[in-house]
Order: sequence, then C-alpha cells, then structure tokens
Amino acid sequence: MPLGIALAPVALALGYLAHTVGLSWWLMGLMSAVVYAGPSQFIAMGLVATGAATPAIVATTFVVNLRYTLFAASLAPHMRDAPGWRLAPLAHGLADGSYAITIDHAREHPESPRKDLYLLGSFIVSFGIWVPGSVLGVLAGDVLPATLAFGLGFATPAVFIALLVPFVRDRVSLVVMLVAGLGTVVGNEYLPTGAGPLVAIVAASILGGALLSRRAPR
Amino acid sequence: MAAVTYLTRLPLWFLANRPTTPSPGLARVVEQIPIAAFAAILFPGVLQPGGSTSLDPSNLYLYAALVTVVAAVMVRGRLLPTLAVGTATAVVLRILFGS
Repeated sequence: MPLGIALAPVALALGYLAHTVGLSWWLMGLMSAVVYAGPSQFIAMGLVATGAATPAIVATTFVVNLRYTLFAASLAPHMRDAPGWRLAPLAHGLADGSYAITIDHAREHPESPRKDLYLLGSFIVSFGIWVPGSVLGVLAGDVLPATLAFGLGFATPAVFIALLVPFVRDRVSLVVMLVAGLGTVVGNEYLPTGAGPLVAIVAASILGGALLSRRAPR
Repeated sequence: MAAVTYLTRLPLWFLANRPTTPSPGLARVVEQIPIAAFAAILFPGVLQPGGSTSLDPSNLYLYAALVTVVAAVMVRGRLLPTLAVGTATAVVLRILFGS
C-alpha cells in the first residue's frame, strides 16, 4: 500500500512530461496499461521529444526493460509453488516497485507460501494508481506549477533511496551499489540509449557474487 | 513497446517451472540483482536529471538526495516518510535557489 502512494507522484510526473511532448490523455492511459513500465515510458517521452523514429523507441524499450528478465530470474526461485499457468499473465505485473517489495518480502519471510499472490496484490494496487495517475498528470499539465513538477521529478530517486537502505548493509553491497549506479551514469554517456543500466547491473551483480564467493567458499 | 516489454518479463513463468536449482555461485550473483537494479535507477535520476550528466553545484537534486539518504536511514527505509522528505526538500530547494 505505501508503494501505491509512492507511485502516485511518479505517475503524475510522467503524465506531466507527456503533456509537455503533446501526448493525449487517452494514449497516455493506454500506454501505462499495456506497457506498464515506468522508466521506459519516461525514456520514450524523451525520445518522442527529440523526434526519434518508432523502431528506435521500440528497440530502446526492449533494452531498457531487459532488466525485468534479471528481476524474473531473481524472483522465479521464490515462486516455485505457484500454479505454472498463473505466472504467465502475472508476468505483466513485474514492474520495478512490485519487484522491489516482493523480493523484500521474500527476503524477510523465506518460508511463507505463495509469494505470487503477494506480487499479484502489489500489481493490483500499483496498476490502479499508475494508469489513472499518469492520465491525471496529462490533464493537470496546464495547471501544475513548475515548482511542484520539480518536486515530483524527485519522487523516483527518493523511492529508490528508501528501497536501497535495508539492502545495503555491508561492504560488498555498498560496492555493488556504487558500481551499478556510477556504471549506469557512465554507460548512459557512452553506450547506446538503454544499454548502460543493463551492462552496469550485470557487471555489478557478477562482481558482488564473486566477492561473496571469495569470502565464503562453499 | 507493450509486446517487447512483456517478452522481457515472461521468463518469470518458465524459470519458476524449471526444477533445477542454481549453483551457489550463481545464486550469490542473483542475490545482488536488486541492489544493482535499484542503484541503476537511482544514480542517473540524481546525477543525470533531464538526461545529461550534471555534477554542477546548481543541480539541486544532489542536495535533495543527501538529505533524503539521511532521512531514509533514520526511518530505516520506510517508503512514505522518505518520499515525503525527499519531494518536500526538492520543492523547498527549488523555491529558495531555483531559477
């Protein structure tokens, strides 16, 4: 539930951005419902603003969202007890926020059954905020003062600072965080759009895994 | 956009139905994914607002991030208070120092 409230300003910020590039409210709603992947939607708005062609936007979306494949790989071992067919439609709900709180839940309660239902619940709340929130952002575009929009723009960093705090508790996790974060920033400067986060996440995770394996040989 | 995004998420389904368990080494790598993923969203959000790198003192998100980190540690990463402090700090900084 707190996740849903945290999503609202981010959705509004997305809608506000869409308004500035001239997207209509119903297209925004459709996009939020069927794509349902915040960061790639923000990037798509940026690409629309620079006049990028459709194939470029689709290709960038694919690369940016490949991190969901990593998320899926990290959640899948916790969802072995779910009926197999259910995870296929539920995969659509695997967004950043839902992944974050579901993996958090799995880490704190490894023994609790049916974590797919937890993902489902977070999806319903998130989806219910995300779609109308982004539509509202477009509609409010004309009346929202720039100062407030600036604050809304900081909602995403603020949420991820909060999410990182419980995870970063030793030197290895600190290294992983810094390598992934700074690697993404550098990658965004020098790699094709969207490739930076992917390369940085993979590299930092392998590095962290290797550091842990060296510390605790099996 | 919808189709390619769904394609990236579908492995949740077939990976969960694979009976094999990953090796301990691979499991340790997978454990790092959330930290790396969160950082990969956070850092550009602060250091590259609007798409280009800005380490300039005029990048107000830098200060807002410092305040938010302190607040997040104090409330042990609870989402709502952290979000409230973060966005409020950004708004106040903008009012005081923004252009």
